[in-house]
Amino acid sequence: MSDVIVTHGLTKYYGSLCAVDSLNLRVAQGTVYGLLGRNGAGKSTAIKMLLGMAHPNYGRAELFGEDASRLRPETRARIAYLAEGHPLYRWMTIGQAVRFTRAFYEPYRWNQPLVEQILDHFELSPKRKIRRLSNGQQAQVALALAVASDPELLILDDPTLGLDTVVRRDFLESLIQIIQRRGRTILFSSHILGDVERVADRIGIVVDGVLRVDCPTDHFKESIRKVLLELKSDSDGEPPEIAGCPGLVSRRRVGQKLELVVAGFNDRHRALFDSLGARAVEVIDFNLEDAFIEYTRGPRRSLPVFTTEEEVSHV
Amino acid sequence: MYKAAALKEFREILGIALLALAAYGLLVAGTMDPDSPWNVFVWLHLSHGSGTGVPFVGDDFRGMYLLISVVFTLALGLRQSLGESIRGTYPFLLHRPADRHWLIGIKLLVGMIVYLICAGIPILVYAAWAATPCTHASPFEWSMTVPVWVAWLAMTILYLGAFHTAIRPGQWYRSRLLPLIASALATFAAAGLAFEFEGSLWPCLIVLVVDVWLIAMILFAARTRDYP
Repeated sequence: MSDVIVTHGLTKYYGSLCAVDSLNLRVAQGTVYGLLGRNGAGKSTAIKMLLGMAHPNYGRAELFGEDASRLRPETRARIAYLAEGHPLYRWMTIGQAVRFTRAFYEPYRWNQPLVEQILDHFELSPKRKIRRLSNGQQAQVALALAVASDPELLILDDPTLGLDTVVRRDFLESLIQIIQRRGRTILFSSHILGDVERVADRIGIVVDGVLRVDCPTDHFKESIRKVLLELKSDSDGEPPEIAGCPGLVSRRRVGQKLELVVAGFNDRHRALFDSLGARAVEVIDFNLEDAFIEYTRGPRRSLPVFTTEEEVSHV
Repeated sequence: MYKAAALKEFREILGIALLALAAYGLLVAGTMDPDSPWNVFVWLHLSHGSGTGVPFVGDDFRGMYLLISVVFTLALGLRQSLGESIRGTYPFLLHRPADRHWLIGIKLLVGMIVYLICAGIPILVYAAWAATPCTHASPFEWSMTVPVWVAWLAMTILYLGAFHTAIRPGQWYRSRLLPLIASALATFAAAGLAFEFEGSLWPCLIVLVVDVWLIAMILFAARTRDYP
């Protein structure tokens, strides 16, 4: 299977801030790829560089084997891009937006019945002004416009941002239907893990501009574990073996319990923890959201100290 | 596709164009009859309401025309370029399967045509009135309109300067305004030369050279800048 998206050391600085650091990414044809990361991690910047909307300081990106910064109109016609916030011309009616967008595509590429079907499904009249639509409805119009050109590659930058739960679910289900129509390649960024879990078969996690994870979604979920070690009451520090534990993401001591988050958990980890002589060893599975949170949050801060009103009044 | 892009552009600047036409209309009406209730510029203390009565030479038309044109071209250039940035629609527009230079070029073309037509009409109307016998007690030659026509053309520099300022990356309080300031100087230099050497068309050459340079700079900025 050929790679639709390939990046080589893609790097972007904004002033002295490195927004994307040496991104090496390959997305094979037919893959639904979820690009994850916290706000400001560099997801949108990476997507913009893929589409030639931002220029890398170093490295390069290729879409369909073509330099992303100089995509030919014919190649752009094969790619749908839903920018963050679903920007559309708010003065247009939905019908005008459809006609405006359609004008840029060859007639054989534009699937007008599909647009009408999607708009009808969302109960959106072509006469309605875009400025009068809710965020969710604007997202639906943007999606209809994006898929109408029958794109081979869909790039969606946080498509469910700002949508309420119900609209988000509707939107994703539409997206899933579109994916199922044909084996299209989809790259989408999000920080809503439930969305990603529903549709992505491969994920990439960007932390501070660096792609830290690039693997199948299930593999990531299965490889992150929380391990609770109940230490013996006479131990006042953590066992020295912990520091050298491979894949250790974070650790926290709460009383006599040591809480560890480990990436790539395997039998060697289990053997290591068993050998520490702890009173109890508990290994906890994560769902994608918990795994993502534990993986990306970094070193924990000290827990805040909450005081009750009575205690405050005694002070 | 370019027709769709041009129509969209025209629709977006129609409001500014209509406002400009209204302002030019009031200027022409007020200049043709300074004592008429249409002379809002007198009410606003922007005009004396009287002159030598010689059209294009000794009346308020030139100054007021330049003033309206400055506001019009600035509004037009900033609206077309900054408007897309503020609404965040540049990624939507520039991802259309069309050459980026053409998409920006159409914006410029539509903006220029709208400006030239809207700003050309009042000169034509006023000149036609001035050329009509028995409308005013002063001589009139068509050559008297040449400096205003040169100023009309020179304002395209200001329009392009405003567009360039809005599209180029940079911080507003640093270098970003430089093209606008430079183009304002170039515009007034060209218009000033036209008024100084009345009847001479060579300042038009300067205008055209600066226009071509500014268009090249705009297209370069459109290709190389980042779109947030």
